[in-house]
Parts: sequence; C-alpha cells; structure tokens
Amino acid sequence: MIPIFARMKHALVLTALAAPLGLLAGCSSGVEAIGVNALSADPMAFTGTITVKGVVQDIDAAASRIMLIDEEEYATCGLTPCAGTGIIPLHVPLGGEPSSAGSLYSGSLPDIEDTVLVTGEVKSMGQGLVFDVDRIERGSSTLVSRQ
Amino acid sequence: MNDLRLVLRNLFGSRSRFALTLTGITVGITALVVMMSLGGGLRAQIERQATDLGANLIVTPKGWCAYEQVKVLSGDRLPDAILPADVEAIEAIDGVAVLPYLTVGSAIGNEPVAVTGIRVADTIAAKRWSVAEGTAPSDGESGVLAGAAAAETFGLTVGDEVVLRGEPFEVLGVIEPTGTGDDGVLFAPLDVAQRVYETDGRVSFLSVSVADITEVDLYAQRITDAANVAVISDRQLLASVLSVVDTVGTTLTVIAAVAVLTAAFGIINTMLMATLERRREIGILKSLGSSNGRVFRVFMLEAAAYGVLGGIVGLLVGTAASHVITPLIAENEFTAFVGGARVAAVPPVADMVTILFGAVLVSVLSGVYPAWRAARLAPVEAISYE
Repeated sequence: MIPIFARMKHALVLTALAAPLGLLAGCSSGVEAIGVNALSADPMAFTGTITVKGVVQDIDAAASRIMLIDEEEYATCGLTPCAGTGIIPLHVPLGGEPSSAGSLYSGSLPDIEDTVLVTGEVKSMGQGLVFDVDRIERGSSTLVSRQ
Repeated sequence: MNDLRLVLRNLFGSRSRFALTLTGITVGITALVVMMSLGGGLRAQIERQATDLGANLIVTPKGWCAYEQVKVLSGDRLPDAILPADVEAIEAIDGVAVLPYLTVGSAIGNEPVAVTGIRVADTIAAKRWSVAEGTAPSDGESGVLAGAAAAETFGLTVGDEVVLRGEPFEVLGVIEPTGTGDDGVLFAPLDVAQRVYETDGRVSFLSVSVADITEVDLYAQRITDAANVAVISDRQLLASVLSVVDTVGTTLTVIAAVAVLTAAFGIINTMLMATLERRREIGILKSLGSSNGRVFRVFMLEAAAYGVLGGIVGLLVGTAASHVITPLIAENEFTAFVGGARVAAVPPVADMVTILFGAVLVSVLSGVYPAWRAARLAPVEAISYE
C-alpha cells in the first residue's frame, strides 16, 4: 500500500500546483487606471500623465466632445449617473480648430456605452481645469491619438 | 484482491491521467471555495460597516438608488445634496443625535484616497475610535485624522502634509485599526472639508441615532416631515446592500459550479477510457466469479475516490488561494461596486462539509454510466478483447 501512496504524493503535488495556476489564468492584470469619480473628486491631485477608465455617456460628434462617466456607477445606474458625482468632458477635435490645450487628433470617436481607457494629463487652462487627452483606447485598439 | 486494493491499483495505473482528472475536480472545488469566500467576505464586510455606522436611521437625499446606499457603507465619494437647512431642521427634532458626513476624495501620488468630512469629536465618540498617534483635528483646523490602512498605504505619519483640492493639510493623528472601511479614509473637520470642496454647507448623508429605538418609524416620519430628505433604517439599508452582494455571490457561485460540472465530464471521460482499457481485466474478474455488482462497485469507488481526493485538495487549495486570488477577482465593476471588497472569509465548516459531500456526489454520479457499462460486459466478449 505504501508505494501507492508514494506515487499518489506526486499526483497531489501536481494537482495542488495546477489548481491555483488554472484559476490565475482567468484573471487579467490590466492597466492601473483611475475611475472617473475618483478623478473628478480632486482633479488637481492627479499630476503628470494618468490613465482614466470610464464609460462613454454622450458624444457630440460635431464638436468632437465626449462625456465620460464612472464605470462602477454605470454598472449599476446605466447612462444616467444616479450619484452624479463625476462626469468628465473630453475634447478631441479630429480636424478643424485644436482643443483648448492646443491639440489635434486622428482616429475615430468611440461609441456610446463603450468602456474606454483615456490617457492624458489634467491641465489648468484659462477657463479652468481640462483633461488634455493623449489617446483613447477601447480594448486593445487605439481609437483616438494626438497628432 | 479486495475492492480497495483494486481501486487504488486502477487509480494509479495511469498516474498522469489520474493527476489530470483529479486536477479537474480540484480546480472546480477550488473555484467554488474561492467564490464562496469572496461572497462571504463581502457579506461580512458590509455587516461590519453597518454595525460600525452605529446609526438607527440613515438620512439621504431623495431618489438615491442601491449604488449610493452601498457607498454609504463603503465610504466612497457621494454627491453633496443635503442642504444645511435640512441638517438644522433634523437636529432640532427632540431625541435624535445627528452625525453629518461629507464623502469626497483626493489622491496621494496619483493614488485615489477617500476623504470624509466629519464632526471630529462627535464621530470619534460615536464610533469609539482610539487615536493611536497624535491628536484629532479641531473644528476649523486644516488637519486630517488618518485611518490606519490609509496611513500605512501612503506612508503617512503625524506631521506629514497632504494636499486636498490644492490646500495643504497636516496629518495630526492616526486612528487605531477598526477593521472597517474607515481604516482607508482621511477624515477632515466637516466645516473645513465643506469649504475646501466648495459644497456651500451641504453634506452627503446623515447618520441618526434615536433616543427610543422602539419608535424608529416615528422618528423617521418626523425627519421626513421636517426636511426634504429620504430616510432609511439601518436594517433596511443592510438588507438593501446585502441583496446586491448576494446577487453577486450567487453569480460567482454559479460560475464556479460550471467549473465543477466541467470536471464531472472529465471524470466520465476518464472512467469510460478505463472501462475500455480494462475490458480483459473485467472479463477475468467475472470469469473468476465476480458479480456485475462487484464490478459496478469497484468503478463507483474509483469515481468516489476522485470526489474525496479532489474535494479535500480543492478545499485546502481553495482556502489558501482565496487569500491570494480574492483580491484579484474583487477588482471588477461588480464587486468593486460594493467597495472595501478586498476581503476573504473562509467558508463555514458546514459549507466546507457540503462542498466535500457535493464533490463526492458529483463524482459518484459521473461514475454511474461508466460503471454500468463495465458491469454489463459479457465475460467472453471482455476476455477476447485485444
């Protein structure tokens, strides 16, 4: 009987190692992104280039403006934020006049309800704070990037 | 050869197949334990938060949904929608003690941090906090009291400076760990937070303790009569939030159950393969007088062994893994919605026994068809098989 259990030990070790690895395989690390509500609480506290994760609530294609809402809040409340603590406006002109931060962009705007990662920087402009977009990504594809 | 020796010899005849089949059921059980751990952890965390709030009634702006109710317990940012006049009207009601909260936020080193404006002395007394280091800020003072986890995460000590909305605040004290979401928050005097965050005296919500808890409904009515607000009892709030948590927990458990079901098909496959490979052996057993029942029993014991071993290893691995994997799984929009979700609670012993029993049951059921096929093999047909 003992040799059987000796062989069993190898099998159990293999099983013990394989199980957590199998579970970890299902987890994705992803980019460490900031939520919309967190950013809008104190935008000045975020310095340098940051990545914000949010859901596209509204698009004004003519003005190249996108409104971004918090992903967690969207999961519960849909496109109309119930807490309404944070909506971040993004200006990404695809031609024509540059944004207030002096940027022009290429690419195509995301769709409403898309979850996007927006990389950029909070800047203090004449009319207040703006989020100067560097690029907008949806999944693995870059939708909008600064020219 | 007795049945047990026969079962063990058959199981370990093909070690790699045994290991892979066992891995299947182990992964399934591990997933189940991790998911139950996550669900249980969320529930325990919410219950702790609700108890810690120490209120009989929660006063919120009208029209709040489950999202905001959850955030009351998690301490995350909420809109400042209760007017100062409403706070004053509620405080004027006899027999109520009011604690206003303004839940906002900021960042340290680009990492978001929860900030809450409170009446410092009243809140410390109500929540029975102990200040481990330093002192608590006074009303009007630009200082913060750091929760233990916030202090540890951001390396804050007494005398350090944090900047909220562009204004410097000195860390005046650090609270002893409470085991609740308060540990991750920076607390500032309410009047200062209202000024810095430009809320014009508005607050996010109020926690209200009443003098006579048998008259909670009466106090709730008085509050809604006096102010343009909504009132929810602590029990209603807890039930509302737990219903969300339970939905998440059920969803996760169903996902894990699919993993167990997949493992069951692995067992069926392994056992069917074993039936085919051991036809000659089955034929010899039958020729030596073994009954159909014995052959059936041996195969069923093999299947049950997968359940017992996979269940035990899965419970052990799952319990250990839940502390590592649960925080990773908790980082999604469903569980993060609940906030403070990075906890793992080991499922109760009764649940562990149920999981083990379930693993054996699934394995035994998976073994029925292969065992039945093995038992009904005719001896002559089986022996002549090459």
